[in-house]
This record gives sequence, C-alpha cells and structure tokens, in this order.
Amino acid sequence: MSYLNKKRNQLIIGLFILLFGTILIGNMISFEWINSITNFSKGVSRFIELYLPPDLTNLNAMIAQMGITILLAAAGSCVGMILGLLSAIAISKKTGKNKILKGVIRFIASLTRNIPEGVWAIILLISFWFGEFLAFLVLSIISYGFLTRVYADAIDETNSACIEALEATGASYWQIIFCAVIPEVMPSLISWGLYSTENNIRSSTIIGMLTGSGIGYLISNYKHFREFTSLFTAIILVVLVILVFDQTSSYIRRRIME
Amino acid sequence: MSEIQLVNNEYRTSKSKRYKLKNKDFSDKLIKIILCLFCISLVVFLSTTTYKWDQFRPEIIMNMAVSFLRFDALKFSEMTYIASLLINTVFLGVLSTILAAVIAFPFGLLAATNLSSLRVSNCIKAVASFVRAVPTIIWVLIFISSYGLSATTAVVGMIFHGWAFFVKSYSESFEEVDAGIIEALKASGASWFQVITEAVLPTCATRIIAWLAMRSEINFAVAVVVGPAIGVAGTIGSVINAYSRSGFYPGLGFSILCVFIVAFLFELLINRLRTNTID
Repeated sequence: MSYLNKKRNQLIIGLFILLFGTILIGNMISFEWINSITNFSKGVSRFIELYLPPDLTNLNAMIAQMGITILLAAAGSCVGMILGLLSAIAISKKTGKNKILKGVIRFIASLTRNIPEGVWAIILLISFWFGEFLAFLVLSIISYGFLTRVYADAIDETNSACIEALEATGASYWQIIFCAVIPEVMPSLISWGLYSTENNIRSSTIIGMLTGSGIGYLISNYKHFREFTSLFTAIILVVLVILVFDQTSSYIRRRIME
Repeated sequence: MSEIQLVNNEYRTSKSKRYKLKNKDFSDKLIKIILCLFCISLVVFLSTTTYKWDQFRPEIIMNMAVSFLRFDALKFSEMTYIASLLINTVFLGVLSTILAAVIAFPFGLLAATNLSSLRVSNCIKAVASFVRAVPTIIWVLIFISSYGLSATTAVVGMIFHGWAFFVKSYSESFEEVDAGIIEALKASGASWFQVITEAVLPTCATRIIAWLAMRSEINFAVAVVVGPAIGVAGTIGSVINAYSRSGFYPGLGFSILCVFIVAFLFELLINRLRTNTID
C-alpha cells in the first residue's frame, strides 16, 4: 500500500508544480487570467455584433483570390516535392553516397524547416518586395524543408530487397533510383505532397497577410478598414476550402496507400 | 519462400505483343492525375504571374549575408532584450499548449469511441474538425475585438485551435488502448473514472507528452508570427519585423538565430519523444 501512496503523492506534487508553473508563466507574459474568463461572453457577443451577418458583395473577388491561393499552395509544394525528392535521395541512409553533400543538405533542410514561414516572409520581403512571387518562394521553402525530412524517412523505410536485386544485376546508381526507389515511394510521395499542399493553404493566410497575396491579403485589408462582415465571409471561404481539401486528400490518400 | 506468391491470372499482352507485368488499377491512375495536376499548377503559376525583376535587389541579400552574423555590432542590452522577448515567445506557446491540453482532456475522453457513446463522439469530432479548419491566426484575429492587442488575445486564440488539435490526437491515442485491458478492469468492477486513471492514462502518457511537445512547437511558430501579422506586441516577431524594416541586419540575424535554435531544440525533443513512444 505504501507504494501506491508514494505514487499518489508524487502525482499530486507534480500536478501542483505544473499548476504553479502555469500561473507563474501566465503572470510573466502578463496573461490576464480573470479578464480572459469574465470577458469571454462579452467577446462572443461583440463578435456576433461585429461580424454577422456575412457580407457577400465582394464574394467574386474573394473567390478569385482564393483560387490564386490554392494555385500558389500547389505550385509551392510541387517545387518542394521535386527538390525535396532529390535532397531526400542524397541524404537517405540507403541511397546517400557523399558525406559532405549529406551534411550540407541536412543543414539546409533543417534551416528551412525550423525557421517559421512568417520569418521567411519577413526576411525575403526586403529583397523581393510584395506580391505572389514572394509568397510562392516562401511556400516552396517551407514545403521543401518539410518534404525533405518525410521523403528521407520514406526512402529509409523501403524494402531493400529491390535495391539489392537490382544491384546484383549490375544496374547503375541512377537506374536503381528510377526503377526501384522512386516507384516504391511513389504513393507516400503523393500523399505527403497533398499534406504539404493542405498545410500551405492553412499557412497562406499568415503568408498572405505578410506578403500581400491571395486571401490573406484581403483578410488583412478588411481588418485594417474594419469591414468585419466581409472579413467573416473570407474566413468562411477559407474554412470551406480547407474542409473540402482535407476530405478529398484523405480520400485520395486512402485509395493510394490501401 | 513464402514471400514469393504465384500470380493466378495469366499475364496479359499489350498491342505490340509485349507482356504487361503490372496490373494497372485505379490508384495508379490517381497518382498520375495528381502528379499532372501538381505540374500543371506550377506551370500555370509561373506563366501567369509576372514578376517585375527590377524589384529584385540581390545587393540587399549580399549585404544581409555579410552582416547577418556580425554580432559584435550588437550592444549587450539589445541582446538581452532579444533574449527576453524570445523567452516571452516560448512561454506564450507553452502556456497556450498547457491550457489547451487541460481543457481538451475531458473532450478527448468523450470523443474516444471506446470510452463513450458513438453519437457523442461523432458530435465532438465534427465540432473539433470544424474548429481545426480555421487557421490559428484567424482565431487570434477574432479575439482582438474582445481583449485588444495583448498576450491574452494570442493565448485565447491559440487555445481554440490547440483544443481541436488535442481532441483529435487524444481521441486517436485513447482509441488505440487495448480493449482487453479496459474489459478486464470493467469485469473486476472498476468505475469509468478508475478505467481512465488506471488503464487509459498510463498507456497514453508518453504519447500525450509527445503531442504536447509537438503542439508547443507549432504554437511557438504562431507566437513568432502573431506580432508582424496582426500586431500583438511583446514577441520576438515584432522585433524581427522592426529590424528588417530599419535595415539593422546584425540584430535581425541574432533574433533569427535565436528562433532557429529554439525550433531546432524542439525538433530534437520531439524526435527523442517519438522514438521513445515507438520502443
């Protein structure tokens, strides 16, 4: 029984530390605990007052910008897929040959992956200026970083029997890559590419706000000019597109992976 | 050799009398269609957007690359200021993660099909997937009208998206708990509450910690961006924005290095936790 008591005491002490730490952190960043709860109902009623009913007058412009956003997301992840596959072949345990190249690409991929997309947008903004091209660059960079890692994992998980069989027949390095490695990782290539497109559509609101392109630009404009009813329509459009894309891509993923 | 299986159907031949070694089915076509769509979107995008190349300033990139790591141009007070903002940003992410995880826990239990009824679980999952479809930055934007441009807004907004994330991940990991353990506990007369504390929590604990780390990383990235995109002050993003506008590249380089190091540490932590859960 003493063991159980000890365990329970440890759990209670741990929970107390967690609670105390949370309150401390909250006070350090000046999070208003009481205000956040008491003002919540007021916030919801203000939201209803300001944002409803949705204003549909600018719907055509919004749909056009949404189309640009989707195109940007797909184009960015296409670049990410191509470059990511090449880099993944170079850094994977099974296909990587050159150690220096491996180190360099690992470093670049980690750099692109771990710097948030908003920071990339801010850095590149100075030299590329606002517009769709900047958003495309940022989306390509972040999908490259993400896809390199998952593609390298996918190549590592492939069955090495195929590669060995081809090696035994005397196939060259590139023949092995194109006849054994790529066909085997093709389904996961596509499904991760779709996943990154979905991520790109999600983050294109942030990137659009910073780079002035797509639906995010419209959202930040409506916010600046306090047209909250139009803003709400744009939000609904984004949510609809994400939900539809989520459903279709998960259906496609299920069909491909089987 | 059990791995080699005889193919029952005979090999078909194509028009030129060559054997077809592969049975083509719908998924192959689907893969090709999607690959084509990706390529078409890239081509359409590149051919329709006209980027004015006179806007492009390579000399700024060169200038940046040279002066990015000149930390000697940085005063000590500026470094400590950047570090304090970095700590603020990390705390913002961690705090909203913890609160979202705590709030989502009961909903996660109700959303797991093996612990609650099917109707309740479907209801909560539908709400969560709707909330998850709204990007985090939009949630923060929505709450500006009630809390103003403060840390409270950012935390409450991130809690909403994190709540949906945790409901999904909790319910997925709770559903993977061995049904035999739950049944054995129920048969020995354990209450619903005891089933959760004795069977569900111990098996999911490591995975929940991994989810927490993962969400903290996502929230950290959002907390960085919340400053320049919406205007919530007090995170490292606003100082990055200010330095890049004013052209003070050593400060920009130092703050980006700080962000990179924190995100890299998060990634290492997540990888470590993930290998722990697999083992």
